[in-house]
Amino acid sequence: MIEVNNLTFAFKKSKTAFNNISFSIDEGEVLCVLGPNGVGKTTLLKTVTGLYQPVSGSCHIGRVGNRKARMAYVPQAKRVHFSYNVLDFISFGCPLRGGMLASPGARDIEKAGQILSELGASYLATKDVNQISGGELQMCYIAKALVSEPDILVLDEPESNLDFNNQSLIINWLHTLSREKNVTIILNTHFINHANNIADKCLLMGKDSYCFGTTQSVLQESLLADYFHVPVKRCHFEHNGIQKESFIVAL
Amino acid sequence: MQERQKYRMLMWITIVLLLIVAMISLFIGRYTLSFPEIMTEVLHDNGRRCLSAGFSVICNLRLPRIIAVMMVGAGLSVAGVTYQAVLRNALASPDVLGTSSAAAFGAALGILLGFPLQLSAFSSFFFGIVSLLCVMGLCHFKKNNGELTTILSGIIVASVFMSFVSIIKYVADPQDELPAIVFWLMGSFASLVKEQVYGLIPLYIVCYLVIYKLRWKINVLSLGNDEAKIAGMNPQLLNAVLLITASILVAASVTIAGVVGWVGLVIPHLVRTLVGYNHSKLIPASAVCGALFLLVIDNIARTLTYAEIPIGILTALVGAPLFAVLFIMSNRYDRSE
Repeated sequence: MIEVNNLTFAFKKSKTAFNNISFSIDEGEVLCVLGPNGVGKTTLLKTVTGLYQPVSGSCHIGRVGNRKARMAYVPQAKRVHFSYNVLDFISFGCPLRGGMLASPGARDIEKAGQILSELGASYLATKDVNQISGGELQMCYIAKALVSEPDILVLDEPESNLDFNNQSLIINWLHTLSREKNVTIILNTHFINHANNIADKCLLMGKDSYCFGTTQSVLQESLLADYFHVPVKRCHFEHNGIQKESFIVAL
Repeated sequence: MQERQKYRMLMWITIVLLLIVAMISLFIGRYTLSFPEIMTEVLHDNGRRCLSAGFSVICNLRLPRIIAVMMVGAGLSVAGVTYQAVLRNALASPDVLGTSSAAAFGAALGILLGFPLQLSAFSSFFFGIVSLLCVMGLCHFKKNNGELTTILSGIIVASVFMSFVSIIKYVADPQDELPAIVFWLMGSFASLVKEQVYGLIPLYIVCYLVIYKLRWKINVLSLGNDEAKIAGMNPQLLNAVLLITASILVAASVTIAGVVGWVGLVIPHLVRTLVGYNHSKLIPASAVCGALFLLVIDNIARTLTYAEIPIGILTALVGAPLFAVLFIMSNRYDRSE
């Protein structure tokens, strides 16, 4: 679905954000991008979505049937300049059909409410987008992306402002999207456990190097410790009779 | 659903109020007219067209004036909404890109050089558009189309044209030209040309329709260029189309009435408290409320005292306190700042 070959991006000639990165993901797979701050994770996502033009290399996006794949991007949640109503804000993500002067139809706007209730956040519908908490705003950004029925969903740290319950809700929701609706997902995250739970593939980025492969091959204690410069330990425990796996980071 | 009903009710109320105020405006002024007399005259004329001076006042002076006031009020409000959304700055107003200053310079130049009224109006419109091209040129050289670059370019262009206006005032004949320029800069609908007003109606309608048809894209664009790009839009092109259209509305308004301040800033803020921030509702509601606001102010301007008060003085006198009230009442729990 997405094939990236030797992709390089630089803000100025001397300031390279990332260098010669290659990876590929198939339809319905989840790719998690991990790495310390400042290694170009967000820039990579913006280059893949087409917001930034790469200096060299290519990013090929596949087709879904006869049409171009629809892509939606969830940025790191930031406050909005105008205090839109939450339902209006989500409906701004509706796909526009019919040229330059088109507007979404009533059915599209109805769908915005439906997505919000599927995310368990219909209580937000009539609130101002600037009067809700950071976590709730993040949910709205995700709902806005989902309303466009994307084939590829690119998310930049979607769980960063959320409490544990909402983190779990979002991660499970993304898992369901990829498995049941065949949506291809690229997720930039700082949570190794989230990557371990839902990713099919992982891209671990460092200052001058990167590591790409299946989740099992990338999420190794030694590799993570090398890239993050902190000790990382994989541990297993049982919860309600189910065997669980978790990474512990010693700070 | 409830919000949509509230919006519809507000639109109906304001449209009916606008029509009532427009009807009343036809019959108030220095030349006293009575509604039954005029109606009897029209009904018993049988198409002979030999109507009285009173009817002539309505057709040749008051009707064109009312239409002009409504066009300018609606045009400045819609331009204000558009600037605020495109520049993502709630303080942006129709003079932020220097269009008002440049159009004022064009008109002052026309008065200084003794141009006939139509040519002065053209000069005003021409320089209004020139200012916009200057702003776009500066953004082009800066190689940045961000909203801050656009605002700063507008401030530069506005300052240059304001200094040109000062030069014109300095060299103008203090007995004749200077009072005319000063009076014109304060804004007035007193010296309208009927043909000019009717000629500008299609321009206003086209500009309004362009902005209204792009209402949904304005919503997305107000979230940022990245959001617009992801939604499949071309933000640079859309920004340019919207800023040009809004600036044409401003230039045409300055051409008709001179510099009328505060309408483009206060009305969008006032309407937001009534219908919310969605531009699908905000644009039509601002147009109607802007027209209604300026019509009421114009009626006060021409009836309050024996000599007509320049409308720019009244819009500032009413607009500034109104803006202060809106500012104090604005939501204290807003986290956007």
